[in-house]
Amino acid sequence: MAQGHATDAGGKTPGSGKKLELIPREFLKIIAVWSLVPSYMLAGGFLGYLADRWLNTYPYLTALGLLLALVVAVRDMLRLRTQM
Amino acid sequence: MRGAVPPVGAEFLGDVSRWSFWVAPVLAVVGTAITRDARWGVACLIGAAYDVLTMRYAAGLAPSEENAHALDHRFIMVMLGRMVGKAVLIVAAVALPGILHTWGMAVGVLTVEITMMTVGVAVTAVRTFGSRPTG
Repeated sequence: MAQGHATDAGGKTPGSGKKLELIPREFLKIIAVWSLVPSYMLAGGFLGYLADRWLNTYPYLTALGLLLALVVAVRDMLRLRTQM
Repeated sequence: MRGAVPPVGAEFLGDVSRWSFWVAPVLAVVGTAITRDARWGVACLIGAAYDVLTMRYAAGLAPSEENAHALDHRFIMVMLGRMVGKAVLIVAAVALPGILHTWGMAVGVLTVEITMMTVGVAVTAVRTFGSRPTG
């Protein structure tokens, strides 16, 4: 097994025999899943809001952006679930 | 179990829905104060009520400590159904601009997620790192 000084996402140093666990991998996964929906909706809503301001159609494109963000968030949550 | 990350199961989802019960009014009051628009608070509370109640229901179907690996098909369907319900509420807010505020509803239906990202992450971090000896 190759020895190295680089740490993986779980904060473990390969081959060192000592687990640093600065940020446990499971904790990172939990934060990632929880953050999906709000961050996607914020981005979708913001882009929709900008488009609304440009086209003077508020709030229709904002709502469309929020709905699209929900759909993409659900898709990515299901993808993450299969990877875990 | 020192330093262990708690599993995201029925117990934790139940905790989150309890915390959301207190986070929702805070979001509504702060949002209404910032926007000075009562529609914002109304929309936020309606969205939050839906979000918290459906999460409480979903928590009852989530895997518990006894059967940690049992991911019920109904649980996934309920979680997907929550998303559809959120979409309907956002569309309702857009359709009824005289009563509901679109952004208020968007924040309201995210109450549980906001709670998880704030209170949930803080509690998880304390449980994970808090009892660990330093140095």
